[in-house]
Amino acid sequence: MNDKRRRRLKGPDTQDRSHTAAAALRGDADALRAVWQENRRWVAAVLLAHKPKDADLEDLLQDVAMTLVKNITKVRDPSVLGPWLRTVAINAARAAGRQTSRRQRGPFRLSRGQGVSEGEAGATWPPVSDEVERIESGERLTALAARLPEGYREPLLLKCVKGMSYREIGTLLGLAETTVETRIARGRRMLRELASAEAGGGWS
Amino acid sequence: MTEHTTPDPTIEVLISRVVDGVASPADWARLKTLAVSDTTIWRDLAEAQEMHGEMAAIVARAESIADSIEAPVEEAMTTGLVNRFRLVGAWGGWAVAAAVGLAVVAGRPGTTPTNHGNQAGIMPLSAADAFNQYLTQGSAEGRVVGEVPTRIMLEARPAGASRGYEVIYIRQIMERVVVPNLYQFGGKDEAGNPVPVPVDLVPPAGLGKM
Repeated sequence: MNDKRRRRLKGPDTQDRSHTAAAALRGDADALRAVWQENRRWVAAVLLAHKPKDADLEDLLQDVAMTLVKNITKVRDPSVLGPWLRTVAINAARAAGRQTSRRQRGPFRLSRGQGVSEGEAGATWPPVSDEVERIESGERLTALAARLPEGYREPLLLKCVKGMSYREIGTLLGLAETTVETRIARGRRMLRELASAEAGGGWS
Repeated sequence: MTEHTTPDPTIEVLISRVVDGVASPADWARLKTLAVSDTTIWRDLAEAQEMHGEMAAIVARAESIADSIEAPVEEAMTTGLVNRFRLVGAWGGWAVAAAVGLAVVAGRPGTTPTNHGNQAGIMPLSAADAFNQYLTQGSAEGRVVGEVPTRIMLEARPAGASRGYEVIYIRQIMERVVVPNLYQFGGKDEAGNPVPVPVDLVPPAGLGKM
């Protein structure tokens, strides 16, 4: 496999990432954009793991992106950029938790991707499809995952991010690769048990 | 790809490796051996795969939201520039005042070694006098529009040995200048840096016509 193809499949290599991170820490605009683009997907997963149910993911992502741009020059070492960004995301999610507890939200707010377009609205009702069922089940599972012990939910969701390895998750969380693997495996078993209990003994 | 290093994996770890697509041939062999005596392993594996798929769908949706959000680099840069210009705007009048004041002081007879002539009739200027002179002269020249009556207090503290308080504050002078062109920071160059764009102000209808 040539280098170009490998990069397209796996993204920039470690050395490129390190250079980009170093440039971003110096305030380079292009590097900042690249750093955000490289990390925003797993940031979304971290937010999912920590945000309260009613908090809007898009708002939180914008908060994290803004904090990254404003404060990245305070980070001294490019190697800690990932863990720093994770902390920013967790703080944003917790702050949202404090805000949503004080704020009354409208009952009919549609989250992104859940809206039904005018053309679709009359086509089938209820708009049940495999994908919708899958999303609904996923949302139930994500809600159940919130009941997992601290430290299990986040690696479980991070493993769902495309292409994220145990090692990369370990770097973010400050855990050994084997610990990450064990937590994900245990988290999955516990989640199966929770879902089974929720369904009255038989998971479906 | 095998990225795991656990020497003797449990059933849950084996199942998890299969779900993640990282199970080695040895893992598969062990799983099959274990499943001979415990067939529920296959059911657990199927459930784990289905759950992972459903959670991955939620995460994929979150990823697509993330993909639509860019780092607000321009916004942050523009904010920084605006703040810088605000500072310049706030202190520009003072800079002019100070410059005029300095010019007045520097041009005052007797302040330079070459000025050894007659000093009779020339009163030394205090800072307040110099400042007032700047206001008067600037107003006469059309440069100074006036002084904003509100003064902005920055700091106040007891005046030490003497009675009263020492107050640090800002006085604001409005000035008027005529410039050939106006610019605003509305665009950006290929590096993402804001660039000035000429502004064409159109006077409101009726203005400029007699």
